[in-house]
Amino acid sequence: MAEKKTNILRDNPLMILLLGACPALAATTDVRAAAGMGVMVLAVLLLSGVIVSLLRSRIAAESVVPTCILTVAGCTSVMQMIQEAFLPSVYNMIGIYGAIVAVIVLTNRFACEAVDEQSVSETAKAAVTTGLYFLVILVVVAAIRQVLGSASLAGLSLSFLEEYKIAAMVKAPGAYIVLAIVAAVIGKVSMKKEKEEK
Amino acid sequence: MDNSLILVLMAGILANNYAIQNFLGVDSILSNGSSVKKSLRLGGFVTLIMVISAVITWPLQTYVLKHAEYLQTLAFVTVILIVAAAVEKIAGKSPDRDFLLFAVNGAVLGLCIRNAQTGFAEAIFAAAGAGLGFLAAMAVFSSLRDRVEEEEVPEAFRGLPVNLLIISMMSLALFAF
Amino acid sequence: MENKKSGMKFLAAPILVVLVFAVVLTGLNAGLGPIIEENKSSQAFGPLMAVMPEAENFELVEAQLPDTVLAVYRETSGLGYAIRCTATSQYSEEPMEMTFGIDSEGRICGMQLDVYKESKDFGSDYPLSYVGQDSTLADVGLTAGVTYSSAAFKDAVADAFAVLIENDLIAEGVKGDGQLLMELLPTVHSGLVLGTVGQYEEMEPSGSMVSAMKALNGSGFAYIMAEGDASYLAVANNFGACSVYNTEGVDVTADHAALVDEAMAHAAEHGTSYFDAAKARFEAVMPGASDVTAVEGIDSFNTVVEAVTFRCNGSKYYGFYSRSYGYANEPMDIYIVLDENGAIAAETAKELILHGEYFNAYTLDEPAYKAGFKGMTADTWSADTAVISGATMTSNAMAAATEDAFAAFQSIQNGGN
Repeated sequence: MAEKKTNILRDNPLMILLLGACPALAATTDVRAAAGMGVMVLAVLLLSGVIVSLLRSRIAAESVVPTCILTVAGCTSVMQMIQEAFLPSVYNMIGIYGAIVAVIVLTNRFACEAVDEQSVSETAKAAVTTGLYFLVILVVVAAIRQVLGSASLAGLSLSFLEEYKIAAMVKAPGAYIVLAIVAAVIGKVSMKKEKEEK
Repeated sequence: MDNSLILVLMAGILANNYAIQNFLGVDSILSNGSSVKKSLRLGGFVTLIMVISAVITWPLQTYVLKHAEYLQTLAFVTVILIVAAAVEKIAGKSPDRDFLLFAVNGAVLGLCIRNAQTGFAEAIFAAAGAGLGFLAAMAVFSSLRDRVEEEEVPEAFRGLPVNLLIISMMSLALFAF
Repeated sequence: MENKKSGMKFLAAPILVVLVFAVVLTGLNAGLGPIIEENKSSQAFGPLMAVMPEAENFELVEAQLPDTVLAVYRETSGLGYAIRCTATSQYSEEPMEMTFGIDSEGRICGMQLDVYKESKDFGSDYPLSYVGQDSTLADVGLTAGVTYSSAAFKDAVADAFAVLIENDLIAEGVKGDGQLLMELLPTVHSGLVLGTVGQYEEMEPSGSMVSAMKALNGSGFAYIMAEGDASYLAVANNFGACSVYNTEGVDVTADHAALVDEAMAHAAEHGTSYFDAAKARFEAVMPGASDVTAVEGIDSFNTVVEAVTFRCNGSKYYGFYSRSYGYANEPMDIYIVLDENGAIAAETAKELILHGEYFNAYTLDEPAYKAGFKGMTADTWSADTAVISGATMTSNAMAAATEDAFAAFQSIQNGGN
């Protein structure tokens, strides 16, 4: 039983990226939006992970998934409201994708796995590391896309790059390509690490 | 039939493809390792879930939630979850984790949220369009991925990166619209 | 039984989660809701900041607002008020929206046009001409050639001032004599205005004149004249008549003969004669017309630029040539023939639809339209006769011309000629 439930998200940035691909592509046109999204995901991971972990003994086996999904949805709503109140510009930049955090595989999968976790503190730690991985990836992708695509960085206009900007970077194709390259880099680094460990 | 509704349908599939152009639900597509046939079936399920969810969430939004906008995410996800579980039960399977995680995805939620601003008929057509778009995206993606020869891909790019590049090609193709 | 029980338990956790979160969210909304609302209205502050750059923040002022005033905001550090207004006019399809700031002294400190969709250009100078104005809006409007939209614009701004004054938020500006007199103009000589918008050109003032205005349609003159400390409005028409009014709108012609003489001298020197044009036209409209003679001394001041009498088929007729303002504020050439009882014998215009090639959204059966006027007298006629579907300005011009002709006829009957 314990072997079946593999925690694929632990220290696996590639998997984190894969399961969080939606916001990673959508909220990375501006570094501020990426940071806002990353922090929001971290908060949701932490909050929902802790809640689910605390309730884990009371949840029947069949209702794990629905409970986790709904907990994540609730936590996302809470975070959305907080963001709307205190960071309205970021909220507007993120737009509809804020709500999507509730349904990305990243947050839901994490919550489901948290149910099997040993303790609340472990879940909390894992939430923070996962969230941080995600945040860093997002900001990096956003920086690349924003600098190359709109010659600006987090509101600062980099006019010397105006001539060289590639519009596709801030649109869908560019998003996929940049993410692919970043994923490849992560993959390469992970492989190296694995080889070293061996 | 009204011209503009057909346009809404077509837009959902092509120009505004929820998964490819709007990234909604793309994580579900990427993490789904099925064959083309299975993709079609899953996509069909998602389309069904989308349409039913749209039918339920539109009146919910228009008459109830407009007084409590902050409950939107929670309410919609609840509805979608129930619909997905119901669809699975009716199809004869017991709700399992992977399907639920797959079905309750950004495309369905994104659709319901966007529908809040349109009329009811438009909402249904948008749901159908989004669903068919999702299905098409899934099927095309599976088939393209099957054709990629694993060995010819540089090591670092195997798996997720090359999949992302595949989708980027699809997105470039749809860009023309 | 077992199944049912476990089925219920299965639902317990999810339902509990939903309910708990719903409560939590409602509570959060109560707490954060106001902050969110403020954020949303801050975003609306963009235009407000543009018209009042030194402003720190704005708060909405609760007050009874007329339709034209969208919102009134008080600037929090005491700089004044920012107001958003909307105005509709016949020319624009959609309402105009503008934002302007009023400083603590009751003067407009910034003006911005936010939404404006019209086929003819408004001109960016016009909104800017409001800056520095107080509630009297003394130097704005009644300038020649300005369109209907500017009249609507001005009314909206005036409404906004009214709101502030009613609520004791600013002091009312004091209207200068010049402004008070100009406001009389529409009622004392309708040939120089269209609605409330002036249709005149400024001329070089002389003697006791502060300003001299010539009607664009040639129907006469208006003069602001000073005598001692007081100012007066003198109006002259093409028939040698002149009236003088004081700032309260009272006719004081009898007491100011000197002003009358000065005004009439100027009018005679700079006026235009329309007799020849009128004669030719009436002879064409009423075949067999003879003894066309100009009428003098009519004391109606409107769009009628020439009046004649003539004989035709043994009867006496009166011909009135009106140049009331039609489409695009251009003077039309309208000829109205009244018989000796004051009933319309014929009504025609040189060109019924001005600029038909640019403007074709109307329906008109010319012969039937003209025939509709026949037989009407001042008592029996109604403005509906003049209506051309889809051509409001032309319809209004025809109606005004007809009314003016009846007024001139009445004046002749009273004065005798």
